[in-house]
Amino acid sequence: MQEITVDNAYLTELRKGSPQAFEELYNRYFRMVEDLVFKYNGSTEDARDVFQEALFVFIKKLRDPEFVLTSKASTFIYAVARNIYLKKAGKPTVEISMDNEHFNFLGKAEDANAALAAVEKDAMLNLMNDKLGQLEADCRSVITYSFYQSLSHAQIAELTGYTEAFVKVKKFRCLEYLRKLVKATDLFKNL
Amino acid sequence: MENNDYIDRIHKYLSGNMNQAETSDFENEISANEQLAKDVKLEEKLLLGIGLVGDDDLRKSIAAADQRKAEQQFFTAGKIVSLQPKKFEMKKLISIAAAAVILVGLVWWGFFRQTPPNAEQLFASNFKPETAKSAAIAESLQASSGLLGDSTSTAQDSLLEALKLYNDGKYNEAMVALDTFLVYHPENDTAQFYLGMSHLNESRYARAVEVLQPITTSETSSFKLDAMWYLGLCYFKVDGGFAKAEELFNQLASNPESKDQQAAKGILQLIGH
Repeated sequence: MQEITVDNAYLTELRKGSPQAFEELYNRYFRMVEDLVFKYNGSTEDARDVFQEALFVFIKKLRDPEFVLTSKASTFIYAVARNIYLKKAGKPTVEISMDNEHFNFLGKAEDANAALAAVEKDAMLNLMNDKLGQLEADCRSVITYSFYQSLSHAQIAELTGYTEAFVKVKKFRCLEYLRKLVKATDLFKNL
Repeated sequence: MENNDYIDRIHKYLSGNMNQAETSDFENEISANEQLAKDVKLEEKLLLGIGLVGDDDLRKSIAAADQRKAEQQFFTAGKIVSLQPKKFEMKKLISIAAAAVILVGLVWWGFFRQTPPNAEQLFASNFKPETAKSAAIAESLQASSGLLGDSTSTAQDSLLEALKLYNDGKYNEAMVALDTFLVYHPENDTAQFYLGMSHLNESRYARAVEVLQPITTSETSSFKLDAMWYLGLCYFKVDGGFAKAEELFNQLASNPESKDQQAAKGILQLIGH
């Protein structure tokens, strides 16, 4: 298995959501997770579920500008996948004590999902998808990079080809437009 | 809300990036200012919504990659080719198989009195876990342990532990230890070979093929000939692998350097080559 070097070029592809970058993660690391799941008598289907969850955590973490990957990508994915699988399978977990930060993050990801009740979450997701869909593609990208991926103006400028100053202006302009769209809806009206 | 600094401040508060004093001041302002309190709630919900969409997009991108890999047969390529019928079909199949075996047996006994082995028998009578070699490697690793530098020693110790698990017949545990070792030492053919053998011991034939096959094409690996032998046996257990097995045993039978040369000739003879 060859390691992926988490360099700027690769990160850029992951941030942009490049299909090739995602598939490369499967080529490099899926078999490792599959073997792990086999060890506990799981199936390939179980491994696919666990791997998707582990990638979600890994990519979210990679996109966090404050996060520094101190271990190899494979070590990180392996540790996260192991904990996810053992938790799902209801097996006692002895967490791999390589970097507690990884597992704190797992907790945070779950907390974020638990912050809204399932019904409200669905309604909110539909609403936001709808309203973000009404924005121009570059507006949506700037909002996502800025408020979801928490990238700096410089990083967004690099990804979009805009100047930093323009990114700053655009970010607030797009957010303001989105705010106007959602404020008129039931979910936001009563605030 | 037009003032960008005003919004920035709310976002800074919501993202927890204010220090204690700033947080305390800001919360006092919220208590005293109804409009600010409303705006904070609005921004909180707005950012939460953006986060939900972001998470959803990311999950969709990962699921799409998973789907594309499925379409490329990526998952089935590594899947176990099971020769074990499902439990609920077992009884039925056993009766059919038993009847067939008796019938075929009677016919062969009557006419030839000698049965050529099938792929299953060829595998079973030739497959051995190859522990003599792994034990010897483990012993030499043990002997040199501590004589090397720290990082080399640590790597050797990890491989040693993995081989010990293999020698003890703990193939699943060995497999995980070898996988982990290979993350750091992807070119190590000892680890590659015993990872393939661990899969073989656990009847994960397709996965064993995937791991052993690259070793057989290596120009430098000392495991090349062993890998060819076990890959050949493995092919007996994989759907449509018979011809590939035959090809490998042909190569081994004509290679005087292979310790399995005679055994390969024997197999070829048995399959009527």
